[in-house]
Amino acid sequence: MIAWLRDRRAILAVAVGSRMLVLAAAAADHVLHWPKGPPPVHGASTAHTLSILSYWDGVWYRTVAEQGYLLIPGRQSDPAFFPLFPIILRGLQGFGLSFLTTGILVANAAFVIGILAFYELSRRLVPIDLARTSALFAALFPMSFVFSMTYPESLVFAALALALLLALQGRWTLSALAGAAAALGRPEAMFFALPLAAIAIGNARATGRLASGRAIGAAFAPVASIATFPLYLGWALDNPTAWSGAQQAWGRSFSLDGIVRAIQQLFARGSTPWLWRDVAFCLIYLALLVAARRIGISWPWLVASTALILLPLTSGTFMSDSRFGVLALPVYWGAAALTRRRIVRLPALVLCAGLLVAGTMTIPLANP
Amino acid sequence: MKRGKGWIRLAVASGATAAGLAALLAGAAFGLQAVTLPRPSHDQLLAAQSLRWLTAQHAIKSTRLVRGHRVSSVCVNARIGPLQGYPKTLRASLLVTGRRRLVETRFASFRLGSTLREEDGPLPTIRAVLAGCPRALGRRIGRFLDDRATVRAKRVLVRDAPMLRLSFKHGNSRLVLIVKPRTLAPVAVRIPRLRTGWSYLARANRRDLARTELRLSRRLRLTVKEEA
Repeated sequence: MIAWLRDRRAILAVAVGSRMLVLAAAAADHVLHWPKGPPPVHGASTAHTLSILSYWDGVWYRTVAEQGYLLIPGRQSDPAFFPLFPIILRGLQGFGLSFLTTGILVANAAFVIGILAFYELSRRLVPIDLARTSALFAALFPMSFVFSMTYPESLVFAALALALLLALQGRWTLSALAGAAAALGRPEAMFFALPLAAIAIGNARATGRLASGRAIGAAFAPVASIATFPLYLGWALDNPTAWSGAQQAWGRSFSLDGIVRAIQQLFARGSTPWLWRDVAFCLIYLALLVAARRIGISWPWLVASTALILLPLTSGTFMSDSRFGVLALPVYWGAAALTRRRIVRLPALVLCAGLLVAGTMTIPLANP
Repeated sequence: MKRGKGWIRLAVASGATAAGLAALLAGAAFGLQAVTLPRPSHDQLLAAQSLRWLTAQHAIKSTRLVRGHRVSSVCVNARIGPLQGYPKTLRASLLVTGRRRLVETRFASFRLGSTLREEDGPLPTIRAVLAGCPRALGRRIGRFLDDRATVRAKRVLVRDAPMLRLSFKHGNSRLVLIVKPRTLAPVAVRIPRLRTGWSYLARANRRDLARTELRLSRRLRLTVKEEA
């Protein structure tokens, strides 16, 4: 194990280093009281040095962990948030740490594991130099500060990378477990059922046999796991549609003309200029997926990632698309492919690190 | 032929294994949620259903006794804005009591005369809550539920009709609501801490909405728009 880690110490160092950068930026924000944004969401802690990492949706995850779900008609309420992160927060409550401390520890530890798993996954799909660079990009990507917030993104990132890696290794039961966990964290994880199915079919073709039951089960695991959330809400709140009801109160309602509404929202009077950050990242993600295609990443991966980036727009807003996209794993392979030359790679990574600090420091200004 | 049968058997076995694994994981995921996360109480769910009824309303009329006099009000959903400091239009309640008109929002309240005049203090909001304004009363109930306030439901008789009394309590804040047991529509509201009497609520009808006080001057209509 130690030898295994020693071989990956550069990756590990960048993963830990990037988190130190984010935590230091968050602490600086707290100490300097700069920049001052709107008052944080009701119930957010402002006393802790790292409290900005628990702003925005972090408050809602804490509410679910503390008090469970309740759909409150006509208001923003918590069934819009998936249960994995609150379950883990609640499960670790016995250690006597606050929800904020537990949340930050869990998110950052999961991210470091996720980066290692992502590197291993990348090694099996792209050349080793690209695998290393893509792991560095994942660690330093400007929006990757969300992996240090009390959000489920880092858990989902780690679970997705593990599910796909284990599938490539043919360890289907563990892959199914990781895939189910990812889907319980964020609904977008469901899209990665597609590459999981592609891996199962690919394996079956290579061996000239039918795909095994466990392989098919692993591909279906994220979908099965997601289906339990409305079932749970039906059982706990007598309302299986509470998730979509809550999404509407958050200004999200899925429809075919959603993308048109999302574009209209950009130019509507009083809309936040931060939406343009989401637009910019949406375009960057799509460009990086094109670059990933050019190094031979197969269609199921790209379709899943494109769905992950574009389908949220059908809810009528670009809001948070920059955050959703950090889970589109092929994006990092695309970034690595575009920066193959050292002269481009180093400045790109330095720029990413700078933007990562800037992104962290602007958390109080806009919901990522 | 034999090979064909073998293939089918293998496919069925694979399908069964896949379904079994997916079902096992789904069961574990459901169980994890059920065991770990706390569930709201039955009475909190009743309160949420009552709030759902209220948020579907556009206009409510109310009657209450103030110093021995019967006072009737009509409250309709409205929008106000843009105002100084608020570039967007705000969701509001337009409350008409006698000849007095009040516009209440989350942030501020205004008395409507020939122009808008801001009203200070909590009284306008309390009036809107007691008048059963869907937005003001809904906001109050919503805040109790946000804080996961204790809600107690009790069967009571009101004018010989069986009703449910929902009592909300969070810190010093209290609210009592009487609702119909089947639809959970609020029929009366009271704020015990302020020692207000019961305010009786009903859905506004077309005649209530035709009141002349609800007709706004052209100038006011630029800022305040009825939704009912």
